[in-house]
Amino acid sequence: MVMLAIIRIGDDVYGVSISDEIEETTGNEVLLGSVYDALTRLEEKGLIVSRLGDATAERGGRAKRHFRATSQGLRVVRETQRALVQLWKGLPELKEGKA
Amino acid sequence: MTSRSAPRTATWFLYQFGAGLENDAAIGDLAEKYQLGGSRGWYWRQVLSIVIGGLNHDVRRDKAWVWRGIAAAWLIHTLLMVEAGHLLRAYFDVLHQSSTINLFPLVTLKAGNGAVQQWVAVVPTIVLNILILLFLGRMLTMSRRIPPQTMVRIYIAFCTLATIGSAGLSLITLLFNRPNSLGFLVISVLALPAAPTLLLIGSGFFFRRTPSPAGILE
Repeated sequence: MVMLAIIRIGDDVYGVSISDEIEETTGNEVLLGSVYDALTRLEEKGLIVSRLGDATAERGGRAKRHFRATSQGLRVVRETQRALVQLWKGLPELKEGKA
Repeated sequence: MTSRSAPRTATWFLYQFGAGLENDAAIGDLAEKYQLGGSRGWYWRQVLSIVIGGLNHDVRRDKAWVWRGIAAAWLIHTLLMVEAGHLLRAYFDVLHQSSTINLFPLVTLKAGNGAVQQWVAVVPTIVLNILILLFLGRMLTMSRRIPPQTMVRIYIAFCTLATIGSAGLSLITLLFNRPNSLGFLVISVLALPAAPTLLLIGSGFFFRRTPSPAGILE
C-alpha cells in the first residue's frame, strides 16, 4: 500500500503525504509508525530511495525525508500487479460476502 | 500563520526513544499533521506507533545479537543485584530473615513481618539500585555490534515489560489476600518511570540536546 501511494503521489513524497494518500483512499486513520516501518523495509530492499530535503517553518524547522521508487521497485510493483490480476481472475464472483 | 505547540513530553519521548536519524523527519511530519488539527491523544498514539515500530525494526534487523546483548545485560544486572544484596546483608542483620536474595531491592520495603526494622535499609538499597542502573546504562552503550542507542532502548523496553509483569503478579497476589505483596506492587509502580530514567542518565542519552517542541510558530 505504501509503495503504491509513493507511485500515485509522484512529487513531494514524504511521511505526511503518504499517510494522507492512504487515509483518503481507505478512509481509515493511518499510524505514522507503520508507514515509517514499511518505508524502512522498502528502502532496505532497494525498492525505494530517500533523501533529506530542506527544513521548513511549518514543520518546526525540520527537514522532510523525500522518497521515490527505484526502477527495481517499479518492476516489483508490476510483477505483483500481474500476480494479483491472475489471482483475481481465478476467483468466483463475490456475492453478499460469500465467494 | 497561527500554530499550536506539539505536546512537549510526547516530543521529548519520541526524541529519546524514536528511531535515531529518522527522528527529525518524523518529528517534522508529526508537527505538520498536528497543525492540521490532530488532538493530543492522536499525537501520543502516533509517537507510540513510531517508537514501537522503531524498536520492532531494531530487533528484527539483528535479532540474534540483540537477544545475546539483552541476555548479557540481564545477567550482569542480576549479578549486581545479588552482590548488592550480600553487601546490604553484611550491614543490616534484619535482611537475613529473607530467603530471596535476588529481589533485594524489594525486601526492604516489603510490607508485613519485620517491615518496621527493615526501613533502616531503605536508603542504602535505593542508592545501590540507582548506582546499578546508572552503571548498567553506561555499560549498554559499550556494545560494539549493536548501536548503543538501540541497545539502551531495547533494554529499557525489556525492563519496562518485566516491571509491568512484576506489578501484575503482585496485584494478582494482593487480590488473593496476601498483604505482603503490597510493597512489591508499590515498588514496581515506582520503578516503572525510575528505571528507564536512570538507564538513560547512565547511558548519557538523557542529557542530549532535546529539540524545541515542533510546531511553535508565532
